[in-house]
Amino acid sequence: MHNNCTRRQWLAAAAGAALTRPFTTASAAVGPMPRVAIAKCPTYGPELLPAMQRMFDQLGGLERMVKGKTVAIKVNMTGDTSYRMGHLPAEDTHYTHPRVIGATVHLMGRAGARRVRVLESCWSTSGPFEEFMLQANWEPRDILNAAPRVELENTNYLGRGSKYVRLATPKGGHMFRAFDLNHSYQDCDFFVSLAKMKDHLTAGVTLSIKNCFGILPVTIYGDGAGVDEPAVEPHGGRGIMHAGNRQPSKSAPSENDPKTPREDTYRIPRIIADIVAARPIDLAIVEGVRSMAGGEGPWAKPSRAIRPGVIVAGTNCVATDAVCMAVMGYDPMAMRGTAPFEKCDSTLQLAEELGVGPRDLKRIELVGTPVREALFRYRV
Amino acid sequence: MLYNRPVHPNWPLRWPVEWRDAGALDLLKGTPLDCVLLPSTDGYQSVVERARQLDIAVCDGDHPPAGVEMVKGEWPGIRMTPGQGDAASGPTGAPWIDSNGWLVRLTRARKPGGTVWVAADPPKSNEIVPLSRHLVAVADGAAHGGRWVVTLDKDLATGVAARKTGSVDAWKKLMGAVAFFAAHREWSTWPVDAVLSVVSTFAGDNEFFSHELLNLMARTNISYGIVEIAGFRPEALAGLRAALYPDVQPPAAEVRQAVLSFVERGGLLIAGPKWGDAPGRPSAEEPHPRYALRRFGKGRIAMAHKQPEDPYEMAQDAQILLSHRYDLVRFFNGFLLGGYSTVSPDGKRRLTHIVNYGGGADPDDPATARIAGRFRSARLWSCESPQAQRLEMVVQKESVEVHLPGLAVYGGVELEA
Repeated sequence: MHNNCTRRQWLAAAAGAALTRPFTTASAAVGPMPRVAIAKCPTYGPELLPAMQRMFDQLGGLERMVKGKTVAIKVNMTGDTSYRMGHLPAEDTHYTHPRVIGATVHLMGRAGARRVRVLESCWSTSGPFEEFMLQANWEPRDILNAAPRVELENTNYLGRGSKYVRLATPKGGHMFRAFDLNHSYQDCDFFVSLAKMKDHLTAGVTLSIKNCFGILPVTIYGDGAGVDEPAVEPHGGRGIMHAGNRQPSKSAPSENDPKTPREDTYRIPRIIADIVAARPIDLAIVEGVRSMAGGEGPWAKPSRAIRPGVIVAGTNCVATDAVCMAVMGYDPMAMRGTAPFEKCDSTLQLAEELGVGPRDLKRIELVGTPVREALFRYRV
Repeated sequence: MLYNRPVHPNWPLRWPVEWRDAGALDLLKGTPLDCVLLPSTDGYQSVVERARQLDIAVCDGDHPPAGVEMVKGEWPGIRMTPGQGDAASGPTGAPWIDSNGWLVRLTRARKPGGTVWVAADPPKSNEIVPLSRHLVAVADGAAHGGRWVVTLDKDLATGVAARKTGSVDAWKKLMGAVAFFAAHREWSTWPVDAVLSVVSTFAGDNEFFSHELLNLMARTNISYGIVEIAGFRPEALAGLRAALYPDVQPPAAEVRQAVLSFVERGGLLIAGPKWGDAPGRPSAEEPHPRYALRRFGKGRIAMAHKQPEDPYEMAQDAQILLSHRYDLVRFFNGFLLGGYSTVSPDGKRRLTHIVNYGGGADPDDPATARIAGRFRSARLWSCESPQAQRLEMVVQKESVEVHLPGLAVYGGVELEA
């Protein structure tokens, strides 16, 4: 795929390819088999860093990927920081654990990354990401000090950029031909989706691909979005993306076809697939050391806290998510009507159709712990 | 005052208009209610006589006993959308919570040593107030050092007078809550444990904004103090991390000097342009959309580009400018909880009053309180038990987390240093 070129180079190539490739799954077959590493990691203790280092080595080495580059890492801190499942800290159920973030940042720095930006669209605030972390009871300094030149940015609005950047979806996308985003998603040479391994109420699963739903600024794509121009302050969630009851701010590209179904189980998988086609993921990391089953956050009922003790990483997000699904006890080739996609379309299938990557395990090179040894069934 | 008992009255009851029989006063026996507020002097002679016999003070609503400040508040709790069953939303989209806490605290700050009674209009004759809302009203007032004037709705008043089982049970629970707070009246003397103080005249042109600011700062869970400019003393800023000046006039010279001295020693001043010129040099910190940041001595000045007009925005900005790092209390799953932190006069104990404005515990998502500081033990006081219950603490670097059992209405978390 595109892990040996810069984002700008990849976009140029993808734009060219978009003109020639058919809109079918066949496009995903082009190129070598993507590699995905699985590691058992029962706790966030001392075994975490070596486990992650080993995985990156199995993927060809971080240095080759990030040396001299600006790395952007999108983490998953979905919802308000005050939500918990019972008394459990959010990082033990639905947030990417700060130690996994810290370890990733540290390893990026050690591999020679020029700068590391940790990104999240913080729920309903234009406050600094550091403050959001503090509200979650995290110590942002632990992440800021994990490597030289680490920055945190809240990408739920314009942020530090002077304007929103527009990223086009190759092949025109399922629903959106382009997205307007915070500058950080363009001002990087290497993009990492650092996700949590979870079920999802609307999309079936939330892994490295679904994590990127959170790169949409709610000032444009949220319930509080401006009608003509982006709102100045982010308010609320991305309900309009779920329901399709209105279009994003007019300053951004609208839906390709507003007559498509207004059901979130149709819309969300397509929108997510479009997003990762527009903003390709160079490295997908999905941590399931501790997590939750039954949904993406404590608001999902019924749900339960779990300890799969596993991390999955790969240079192709579709392949990585496919392996995650297998680890979770699901069939990555599942279609609508089959678990975990009983009510929704498969995001993996839709991303595969856009040429993002393969979901068939036969077309993925697995390294590290075999799936059968890492298996943790999310459905009991 | 129609009858003033020799001992200062403890807790007031608004005499329900449905109680025509003076014998209803017997319901007050064995409760802390020892003062009755009558709607008027006409037609209640038998009540006054019976009250005199029972040594219960009687006054009319406009003339409280000496030493008592009566303030007009609201029924605390979640504000419901009129005509609909759902909760109205506040500025964050979260349910709007009404509380009298800020008003009680402001009144106490203005009249130190006095007693504050907070009264709200009686419910409409067709309005049934759930017991939980009565309990929240009592807890909200008492947690902040005041006394809610117990006000029964028609349904409860008639039911109690008729000795209906359900109503009598509700009355007993209500009196249990009143008795709990009356037994812990010393808590009302514990000073606030604040990180920031609002410095204002709280009057004139500043009245609306400053009052609303106090109200909404409580919603953000900032532990704030109140410094009234009348009678200002520099010591009032001791121990704080920040001072917030929202007024639309420049401060008096001595206030300005004291606040800037506070900044020089490491404090943060948050103010609007009406403050006047800010000394120091521009800060290299990340720019804030609404404030210009300056360094002065060891501290910082955050000067709003234009005079703040939205008190909630100012409260939220204050929290970020100061940083959540200095939150004294933070709740998880506590969307309907309000906290008020106090410290014992000897400084060895912290008492965080927690009111559940929803008036009902959520067994599925119990709340957690993260309280800054280092503590040896934690226990929980509740209206339902005369004894405090030991709480498990999860000790963290500079704070503890306590796992709250389902708080129906009130919990007082007492932490020992």
